[in-house]
Amino acid sequence: MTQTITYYAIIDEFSSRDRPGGVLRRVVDGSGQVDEAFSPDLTWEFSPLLYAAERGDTMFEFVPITEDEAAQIVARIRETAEPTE
Amino acid sequence: MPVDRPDPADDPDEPGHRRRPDDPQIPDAAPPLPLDQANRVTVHHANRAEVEQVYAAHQQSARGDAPIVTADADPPSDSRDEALASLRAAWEQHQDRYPERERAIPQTHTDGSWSSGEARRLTPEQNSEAAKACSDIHDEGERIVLPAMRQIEAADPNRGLVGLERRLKGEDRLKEKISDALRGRPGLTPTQALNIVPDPVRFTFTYSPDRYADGVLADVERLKEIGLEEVKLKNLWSDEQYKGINSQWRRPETGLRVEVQFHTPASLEAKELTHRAYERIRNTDTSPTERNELEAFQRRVNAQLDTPPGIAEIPDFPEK
Repeated sequence: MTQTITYYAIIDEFSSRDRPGGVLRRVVDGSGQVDEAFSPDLTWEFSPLLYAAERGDTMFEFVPITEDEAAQIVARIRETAEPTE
Repeated sequence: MPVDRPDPADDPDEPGHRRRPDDPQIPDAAPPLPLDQANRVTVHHANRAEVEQVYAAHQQSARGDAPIVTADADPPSDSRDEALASLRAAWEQHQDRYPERERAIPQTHTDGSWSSGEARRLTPEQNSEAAKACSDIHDEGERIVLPAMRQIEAADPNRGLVGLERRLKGEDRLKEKISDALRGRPGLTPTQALNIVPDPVRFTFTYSPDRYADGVLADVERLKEIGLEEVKLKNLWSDEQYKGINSQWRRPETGLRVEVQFHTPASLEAKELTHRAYERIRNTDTSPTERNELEAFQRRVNAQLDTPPGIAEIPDFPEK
C-alpha cells in the first residue's frame, strides 16, 4: 500500500521560515489520511492545526518542506527538550 | 453576554443575529454615502431582510424542516436548489454510515486543571491564565470592538454583519485552541498561545457577489480607519476546502486579536453546510477513511460556488 507523507513547517509570530516553531506531517495511504505534529512529548501525535488553517484559521502558517528539513526541525526540538549534558 | 458554545464549536457562522431593539444606535461612519438617509435606511432594511431570509432557511434546513434556499443578489435557481439538496442528502448519508460519536465534555478539575477529552489539557496555571484572559477579551470585545464594528456596518447599507451571537469565542473553545497550539507547536508558552489566537472576537460580513470585491476592499480600509492593525488577510477563494476571505486584526492598545471574515451568502452557506464535517475532520477519533470522505464532501460543497468578480484584486496580507 503506497504511503505519501508531506511535511510542513509550522510558523508563527515567535518563529520564522528559517527557524520554524514546529513540524507537521500529513500521512496519506490507501485507507485515508491523518495529520500529526511533533509534540512537546517528542512523539508524533494527531493535530488539527493544518485542518484549521485550511478552514481559514490564521493562527499558524504551514510551509511545505522536505523530509530532511523536517528531520532538522525534529532534531532541534529534541535538543531543546533534552539538552546535552 | 453572548458567548459561543462548544457545540457547534468554532465558527461565527450560525444563523444571523439581528440587531435587538434595545441595542444602541450606531453612529454613521465618516465617509459620505451615495444615498440619502431615507434611502439608506430602506436599502439597509431590504438587505437585512434578504440576509435574514437566508438564515431562516438555514435554521429550517438544519432542523430538517425545509430545503436550503439561497437569497440576496445571488437568486435561487432550480439547479442550485437541486445541488444543495443533493449535498444535504450526501451529508445525511455520511451520518448514516458514520454515526455521531459522543463529544468530549470540557471540564475543570478539583486541582484547577482543565481537560476536554483525552488529548486537550491545561495545567492549573494555564487554565487560570486562560480564564482570566477570556474574561478580559470578552470585556474589551463588547465595550470597544463591537461598537466600532457596528459603526463600520452602518457605513454601507448594501451588506451587513451576520452571526453576531457568536462574536465572542467561548472560554472552553479558547482553551481547546490553546491546548491544540501547545501540542502542535513545542516551545510556545501559554501566554504566547493566548496572544496569537486569531479569533477570540470575530465578525462576519456578507456581501452580494457583485458587490463583494469592492465591499471587502472598502471594509478593510474602514477597519484600518478605526485603528485596527492588519495582521493577516487570506484570500481563500481558490482553495478547495473552504472559500471566503479571512482576516486577522490587532488592537495596538492591548494586542487583542479580532477576526473578520468576508463572505457571500453562498460561501457562508457552504461554510455552514460543511461545519459538522470540519468538526469531525479535526476530531482525533475520526478514522483516516472517514476523514478522506469528509474532505471530499467539503470539496464537493465548495466546488458549487461561483467566484465573485474581482477576487484577484484582493491580495493576501502579508503578500506571499
